[in-house]
Amino acid sequence: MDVSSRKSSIERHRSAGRRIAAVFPGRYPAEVLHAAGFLPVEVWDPPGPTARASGHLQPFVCGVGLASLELLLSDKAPALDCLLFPHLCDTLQNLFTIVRDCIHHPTPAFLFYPPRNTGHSGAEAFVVTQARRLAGQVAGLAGRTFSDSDLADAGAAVDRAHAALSRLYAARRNSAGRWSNTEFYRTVRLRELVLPDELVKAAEHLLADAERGAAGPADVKLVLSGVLPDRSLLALLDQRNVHVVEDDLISTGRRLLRKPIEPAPDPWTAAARRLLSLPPCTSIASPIEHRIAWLTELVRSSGAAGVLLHTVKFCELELFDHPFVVQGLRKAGIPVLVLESELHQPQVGQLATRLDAFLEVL
Amino acid sequence: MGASGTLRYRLARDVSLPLLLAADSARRSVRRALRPKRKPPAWAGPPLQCADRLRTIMTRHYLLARHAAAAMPVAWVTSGAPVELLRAMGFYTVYPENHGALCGARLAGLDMSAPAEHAGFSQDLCSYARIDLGLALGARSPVGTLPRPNVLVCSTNICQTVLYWYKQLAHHYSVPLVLFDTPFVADDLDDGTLAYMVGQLEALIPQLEPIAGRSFVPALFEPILLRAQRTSLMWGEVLRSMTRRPAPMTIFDAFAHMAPVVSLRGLPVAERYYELLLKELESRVSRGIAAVNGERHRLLWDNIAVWFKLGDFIKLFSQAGCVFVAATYTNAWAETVHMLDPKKPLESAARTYSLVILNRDLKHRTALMKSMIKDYSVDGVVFHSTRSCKPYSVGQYDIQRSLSQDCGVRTVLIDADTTDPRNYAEGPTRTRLEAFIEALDLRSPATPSA
Repeated sequence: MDVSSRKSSIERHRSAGRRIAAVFPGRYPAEVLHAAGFLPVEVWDPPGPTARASGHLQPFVCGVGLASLELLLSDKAPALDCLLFPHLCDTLQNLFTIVRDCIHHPTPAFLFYPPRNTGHSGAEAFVVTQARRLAGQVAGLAGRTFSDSDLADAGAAVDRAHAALSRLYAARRNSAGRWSNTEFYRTVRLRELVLPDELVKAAEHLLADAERGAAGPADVKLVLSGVLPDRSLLALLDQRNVHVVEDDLISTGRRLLRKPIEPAPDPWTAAARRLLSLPPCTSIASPIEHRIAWLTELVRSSGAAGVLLHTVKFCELELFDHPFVVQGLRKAGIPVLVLESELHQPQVGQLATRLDAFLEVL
Repeated sequence: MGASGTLRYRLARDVSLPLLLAADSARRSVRRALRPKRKPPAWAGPPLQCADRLRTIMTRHYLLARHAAAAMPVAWVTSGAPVELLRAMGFYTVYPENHGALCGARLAGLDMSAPAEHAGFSQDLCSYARIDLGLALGARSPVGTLPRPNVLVCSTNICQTVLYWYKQLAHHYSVPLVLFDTPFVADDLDDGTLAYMVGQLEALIPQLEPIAGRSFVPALFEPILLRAQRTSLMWGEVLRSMTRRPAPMTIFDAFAHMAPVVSLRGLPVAERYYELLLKELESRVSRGIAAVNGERHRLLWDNIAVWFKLGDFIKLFSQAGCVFVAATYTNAWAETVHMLDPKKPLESAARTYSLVILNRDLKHRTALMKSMIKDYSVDGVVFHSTRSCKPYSVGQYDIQRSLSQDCGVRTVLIDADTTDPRNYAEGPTRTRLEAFIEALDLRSPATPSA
């Protein structure tokens, strides 16, 4: 089964009768889409120049926003049944309304707003109303509704995927050097384009590989934080035998449930709890101290030598947190390197120089 | 917050500050009298007399703030936060955004943000935030010092940036951050969203009471809510005076005169101020007094002001007979206030605060701008694109196209910033604006309407 290509995954699922939802960056209840017969295909960093998007977005918009819009405007975009914009930041919020209200993109576009006030007692009920609204929107497209039992099944599959990824993350912590960074994230990022049980299989496949032999040597172990696992950066790390042993990336680690959620009275509440139990993030009202404590815990539990904070240029979410997070980590005796680069246009030489200097210090 | 602090605050409020402000006013009058009389430019209408009163009010607000911390709890709040609740609990409120604008207008933006940038805050971040974080990290404000906050109150109705920004402040000052999260309204406000917001407002009260050191009394809240509503409605009337030809004031005036509705909303001083301003404007309208002599083109401004270029822009546009008569920015404090209902205070406050322009989709914003173009007889729109405010700026290219096509107005978009001159290129911007004015002249070279 070829699950590694976005195109082949879309074709395979479409021919099996699933509809395709392009999902833009952020936190959202994937189980609702699964239960409604959709395959969510996430759009984080589609490659290529962003000429058409520049006609709608200013140059100070981050590469993620520009690349996402470019994909929608290009003739390379696959046939889609709906677009879902989880509200992650101001830029993606406006991107949603540009696509829906200004460009009038023919594909129906929906917004999902994850609450920022996650500590508020009404946050869970709010997520449930949002999830039900989303369900109504996609059911309208699919021409069929789904039952609570369908949603419970979809939720259970999502739980299995979280558990499999957690096992994979644990295996990486325990046997750093088993996989290259590139190889590891190729599997983790399958989450963006396959159904949960396919992801479980892929994760188990990689885990089985780990059990067959001893881990290779890892010169340095790091925790990677930021937006997404940039391919050029991963390659640089691989070349230097530096192993990412944990991550706090918005697209991966920050969307990974590390422990089972509290039992919920119904599948809607369970979906809300999954969303509200994710690790701290700048996008929600969790205090900076929580993020510092979370990163410190990742470093301590994985035996990492330091933290690499890598962000995409103009990503406000990350840029705001960096100074005090760096200060907090350094106070805890954890070395930190901050890198910022354009999406798909990293100045690799510059990154390499800074990375090498950091590694020398370590 | 002891008895001596309260006494010092009252002495300052009732004795020393009035004396200081009276002396300052007298000093300025003497200076004005002694200054050699310069002929005002031909385009300049008589200045608003209320400007002196405004200066006194805002100076008093910032001077009084220095004594506030010793006498009462201090809250730093975002411009879209439901301040009426705080007033009912006796908080002294400080608006970092207003302070940022003030620093920008006094050309202090760079100096103020330097400590924040030195600490690692990127130059790509909102410049209001950098100024405020700079202040926290040791920069000296042109208004002296701001009182240290006891609590931070933040609402996401204007942007998510304020949440990221206030989280840093909460960390730095080790004070609680109280959030009023207002989900983005992509279509209509649904019941689930309303319940979430009302629940947060209800939860705000027990969060704030221990900090305030007093209980929330609904009977105190209602009159404050009503006063805030009257103030904002009057602010709306102030803005509507610019539908008249010639306009008795301009949006550049409004950028300054909006300070009380933003920072002092709910207090008697703000209400009294707009009564005064409104009277003056009505008088100007009845006597046909123009803010700009030779009014030829009426313009709409989109986005926050370029505070450090206000003076230059006033001159550039006014001498060409171009008058800004409307702005989406100034309108934001009048747009939804009619929804406040003392019978349903929290629910109506949730509606009022969540349905503001920046928390709604671009369909709404475009429609609002189209109606402003019609109501204010606008024939040109200037879009200010600023990296300091992404929710305001991202989408402007499309709105610009829509207004040009559907309303037949001339439009121009300039890249600048609210307070950071490094993000502003004088030559190219001036060329664009001059070309825009020429294009307006080509379209309607009619004689002045004044």
